[in-house]
Amino acid sequence: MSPSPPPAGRDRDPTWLEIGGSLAFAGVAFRLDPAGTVTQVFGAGLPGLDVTDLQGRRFDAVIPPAILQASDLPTRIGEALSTRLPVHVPRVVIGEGLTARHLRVRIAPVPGRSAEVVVLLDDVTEAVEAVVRAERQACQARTAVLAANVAHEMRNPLSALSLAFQVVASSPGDPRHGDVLRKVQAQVGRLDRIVEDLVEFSRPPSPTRSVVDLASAARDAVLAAAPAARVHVDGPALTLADPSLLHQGLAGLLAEAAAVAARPDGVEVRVGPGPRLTVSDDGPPVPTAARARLFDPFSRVRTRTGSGLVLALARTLLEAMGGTLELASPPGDPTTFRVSLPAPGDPSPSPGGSAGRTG
Amino acid sequence: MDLRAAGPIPARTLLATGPVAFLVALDLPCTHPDALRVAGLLARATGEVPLVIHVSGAPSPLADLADLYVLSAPLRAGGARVRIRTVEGDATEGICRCAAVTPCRWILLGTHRDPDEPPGLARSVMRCSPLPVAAVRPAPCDPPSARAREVILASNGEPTGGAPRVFAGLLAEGAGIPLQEVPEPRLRTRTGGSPGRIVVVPVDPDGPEPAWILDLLRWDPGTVVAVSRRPLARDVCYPTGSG
Repeated sequence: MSPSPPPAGRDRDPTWLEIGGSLAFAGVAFRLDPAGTVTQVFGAGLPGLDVTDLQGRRFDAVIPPAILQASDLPTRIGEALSTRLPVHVPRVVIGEGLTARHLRVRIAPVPGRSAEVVVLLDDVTEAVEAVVRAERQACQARTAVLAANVAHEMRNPLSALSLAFQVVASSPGDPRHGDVLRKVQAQVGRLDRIVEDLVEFSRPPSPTRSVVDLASAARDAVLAAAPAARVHVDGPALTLADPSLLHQGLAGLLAEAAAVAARPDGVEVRVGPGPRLTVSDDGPPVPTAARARLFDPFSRVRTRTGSGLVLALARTLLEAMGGTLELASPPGDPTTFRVSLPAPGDPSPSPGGSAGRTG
Repeated sequence: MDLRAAGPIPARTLLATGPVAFLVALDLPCTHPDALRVAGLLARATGEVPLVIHVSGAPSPLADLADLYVLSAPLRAGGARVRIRTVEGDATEGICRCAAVTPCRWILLGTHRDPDEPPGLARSVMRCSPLPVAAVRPAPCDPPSARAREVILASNGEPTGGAPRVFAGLLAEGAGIPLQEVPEPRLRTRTGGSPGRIVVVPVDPDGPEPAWILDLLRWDPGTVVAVSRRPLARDVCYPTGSG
């Protein structure tokens, strides 16, 4: 749809220029006099709204009820006129499903005229659909990467299992079979770990928050995942968190640090002051090129063992509680992760606020 | 116009066709804020969207929309949604027509206080509409921001069930206070009304305003809300208001 030629007088009216003239839009702009009558029209119209029908008629008699209802146009006009400020409604949905149209509504009072407005109804359906399409494609791309990673991770132990079975089948009764079966057991355990982490990763976390002493939570996580790690408490550190999710997230982070540390006591945890902590280790620094994908599922930047989901899962769990997990050390330095959590009294995170887990 | 033959619109239908609303008809430019105070309590209790309208035979709708937007500001407190509309035509016919085409359960009208002058518009809307109508006769002394401190369902020996009771219960719930039910002779002996008192009285939509209600308007300084005994929309699950 291309805008029709501007009506006479439009160029002399700054509001009309601002709303109708300076924007490229697919829809209709019209001016209302104090009686609510359409005095000027600009644009090509909208589905169900013919611009030739508008001129000289009352707006609430000619604008389709679906548009009037969804945009609540009379209320918006009242708002614009009483505040003397333009009212902008970024998106109004008309209809449902495949036939839904998206409108952008803008209403501006005409300067110097106490009860006159200019209304712009702009059809932005194509732009909205383009964004939705792009989001869907990005989501499909992420899913494809995740699926490829899962397939790759599972193929390795499956190949080892297949080889082991071939060995057993080709030499029945061989006394070395006990050794082979122990390897089979190890590979089954690895598969089991991958599946367990995947299940955990795909389950939406539903935190139940309570006041937690972060120092105690850190000590518990150290005991469970990195018993040789050193814990320093620099100040009081109360947080509002789900104790179980917090333990799971911190334990994952510590297990990863312990796995790469050069010495058994090479992991250090500093807690507080305030609801934050750092986890440092003396292992090799994160390669500069890999820093951006450190938290991606299956990125395996730091360790080749494990499911490759631990850091991704830890970040998801901490974000679900309104916290953050980030790499705090500069490139080339020993690795330090920083965890920040909400303090008691902070507002709850929004339900959709957690990071997606589709990878 | 008589829309009663159609009966109340079932709530299920209303929910299917749009957000459930209640109608607040205001006179411009001299609206008493009491009607909006009562509307605010109803909105808080039901979660329904107030649709504030003004009906006029010779309208200047854009200026009226601006006035309605300013007047309905108290209803928008806390970000609550309020819709405003202007309707062209006769007041009674316009209000009833608007209520008939809107997913709507109640009609609220602001009206005057003078007991010697019958509230003509409110009575004609009560007769015309199949919905329960609440005619708010304002408290002359209450400031616009007065908190509702008492909600009383008054009777004079007549049954007080149905729409009037539900309406009174909703006002009490909206105000966060218990509903009191007091028969008229005892109501008169209570210490002469206080700021923030709202008395709900049931009225027969087809009959004249009973003398005891006119008396009530003379000696009780609180807000008096006359609610017509019309059936509630089906499927409405409101509290009984007996608390």
